[in-house]
Amino acid sequence: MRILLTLLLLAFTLTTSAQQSIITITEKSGKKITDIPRSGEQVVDINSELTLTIDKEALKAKIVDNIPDLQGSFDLQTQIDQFEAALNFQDQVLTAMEGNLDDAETMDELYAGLTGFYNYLGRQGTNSQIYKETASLLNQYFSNDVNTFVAGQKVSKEYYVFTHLNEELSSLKTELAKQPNTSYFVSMTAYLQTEFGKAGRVHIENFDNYALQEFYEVPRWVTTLSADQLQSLKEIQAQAQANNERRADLFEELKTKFLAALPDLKCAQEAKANITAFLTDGTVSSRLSTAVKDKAQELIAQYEQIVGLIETVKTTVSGLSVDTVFEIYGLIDQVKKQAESIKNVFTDFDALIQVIAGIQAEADALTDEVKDCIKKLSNFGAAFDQLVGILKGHQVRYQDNLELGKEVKRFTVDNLPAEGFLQLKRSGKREDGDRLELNLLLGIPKEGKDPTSTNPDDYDLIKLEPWLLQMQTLGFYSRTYVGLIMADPYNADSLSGVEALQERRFLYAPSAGLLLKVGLRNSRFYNDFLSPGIGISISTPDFDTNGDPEFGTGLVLTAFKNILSIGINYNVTLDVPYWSFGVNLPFNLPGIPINRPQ
Amino acid sequence: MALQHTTEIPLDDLPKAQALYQGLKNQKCILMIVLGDSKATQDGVQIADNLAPTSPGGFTRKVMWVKNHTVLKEELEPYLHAAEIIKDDTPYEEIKCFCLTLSPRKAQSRIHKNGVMDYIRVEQLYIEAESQSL
Repeated sequence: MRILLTLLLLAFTLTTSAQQSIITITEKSGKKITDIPRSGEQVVDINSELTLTIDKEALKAKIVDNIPDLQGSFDLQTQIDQFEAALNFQDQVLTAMEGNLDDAETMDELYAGLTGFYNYLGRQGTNSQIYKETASLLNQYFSNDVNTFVAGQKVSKEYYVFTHLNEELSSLKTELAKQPNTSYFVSMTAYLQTEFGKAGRVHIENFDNYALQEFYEVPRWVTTLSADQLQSLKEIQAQAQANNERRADLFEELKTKFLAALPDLKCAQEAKANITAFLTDGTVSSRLSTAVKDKAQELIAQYEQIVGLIETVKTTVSGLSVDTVFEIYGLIDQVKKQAESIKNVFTDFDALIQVIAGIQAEADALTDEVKDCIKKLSNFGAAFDQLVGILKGHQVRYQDNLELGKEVKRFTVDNLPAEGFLQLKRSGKREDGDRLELNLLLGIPKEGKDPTSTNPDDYDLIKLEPWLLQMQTLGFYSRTYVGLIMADPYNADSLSGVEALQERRFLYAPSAGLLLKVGLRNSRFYNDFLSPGIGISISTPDFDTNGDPEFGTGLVLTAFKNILSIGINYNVTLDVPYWSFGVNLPFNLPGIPINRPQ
Repeated sequence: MALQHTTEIPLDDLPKAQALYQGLKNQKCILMIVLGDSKATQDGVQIADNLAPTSPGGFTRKVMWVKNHTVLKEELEPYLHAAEIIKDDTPYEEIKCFCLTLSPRKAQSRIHKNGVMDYIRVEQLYIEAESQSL
């Protein structure tokens, strides 16, 4: 039983230590300070400021997990740090001891230094090297070590201890210098993912040089709905919707387009065949000089090279996955240079054959055909640039934002800032439910590569601790919405002159409302999915179907981010109560006039 | 090694014990009080005694050793109460060592009976009492 309990305790301890996070996030919203636990829902106030504090000991442990060679260096560096911190007090103590101890100020200095020194040792604990070393030195001092005497005088224990701690510190530094020089760096990045499908880097003070975004505070109390704003949101939503549907296949689709845009090899092969035919034509051949023939052979060779290059491009693009390093830029340059070279060689060749008498017709025919092909190759170069730009941009987004630009600072454990600061109000336009991805990254330069290189091919990146924060207006807030409702009057029969309602129970009506909602810190499910709201709505039903909408108003309940709404209303114009419901899915079905409310 | 700065309090002669305590209390010295007689405590007394003549600020240091937690309890316990060192979970019997400042006598912290009484901890107690006596 005891063994079982011990094992359970050990398992718990291991689990707890495994879950120990490197980054501690503290949120400041107004005057309120809140810790955001990594094991929790990771929901933060959408307008808050975040302080990211790094636990260097936990970071070291994680780095050693990935680079075991660093264990020795880290241990030595920890000891050096402790010795240096303890020795910070030596000047204060020794200077005061050499001074006039009858002077109250000197005594204050002396005891401030001694208190700092012994309290520091106490904080490090009896197992720390600095504590053990100091205790050992004091033991030696009172064992009348010969070194306690200088010029026949016994030195003070403080002088003895500090002197020997300095010597030990020097030894530790020498030892550290002998450790293998393993290169690494630590960086931290933040990335905003919005529902609009837009995304971008977010500046973390102390950790990168990205510019702050325009100030944008998500309002807590929204009470107006402008037509421009609605239109803008609809357009953005439509774009996001289209992007979402295509997202999974976009990379493959772009690749297909890319391959389709490659020039038809037939053109190059035919041009090559025509030049060969031109050279072997009986009537032409005899009139050609050796220089012309050599130039023609050069042109043929150039065509053969570009055919080979285009085949290579096709193979490379077909094999690209979204995660592979993009290697096509070099090839593109080669193709473009080759096309330019063909153009130049052909210009020389053309100039030579145009002056040869008696072959003008054949020369003109050949010139037209080859020029046409050269034009196609040149156009292809421009198309390349455009498509590769799209493909590259898409790949960068899919590479999980790991590529580090020169703006992202690189640190080692020694110079890593203890804290980073992130202002959500300066992170760009966002809305409730958007995500903020934080990554603490370990970069390991590849063998033989420049450790300072920003080329992602030159280093491996390991995510040490990713966070995915949800930004949310917390507590009560209001939002406007619009949607389409199905309205059903209670006493349709009593309405005079209403014929349409005899045949159908529900009528569509546009509706707009003002909702009171609540954002929770402890439930993403609630914020993301349930998200109920209660409020007032207005609608413009046309119960009498005369073409003039009436005015209705009432109370509305919404759920699932306003997708589902149910309301009790009153048609003020016709003096008729009605209930309504709306199912406003976030996508359109052909023929059904339903859209997501804004 | 002989104890040169330590006064051992007799356990079987209360009047003498009180007299010795009063004598020490009235001296102008930093007074380290050690309670108990375990091996670790005996070693600790030697350490406190060794450290006594080495006050960096030139204070006189003395050690008073009471080998049990009964004798002089009435006299010593109030210091620990006043410093809030004795609490529900830390009775007088669990205190191994503490140090009194110059007049007015008061304690700042202590070494628990399970705590380490090494040169660093004992010197820390001396330094603490001396800095409060400036």
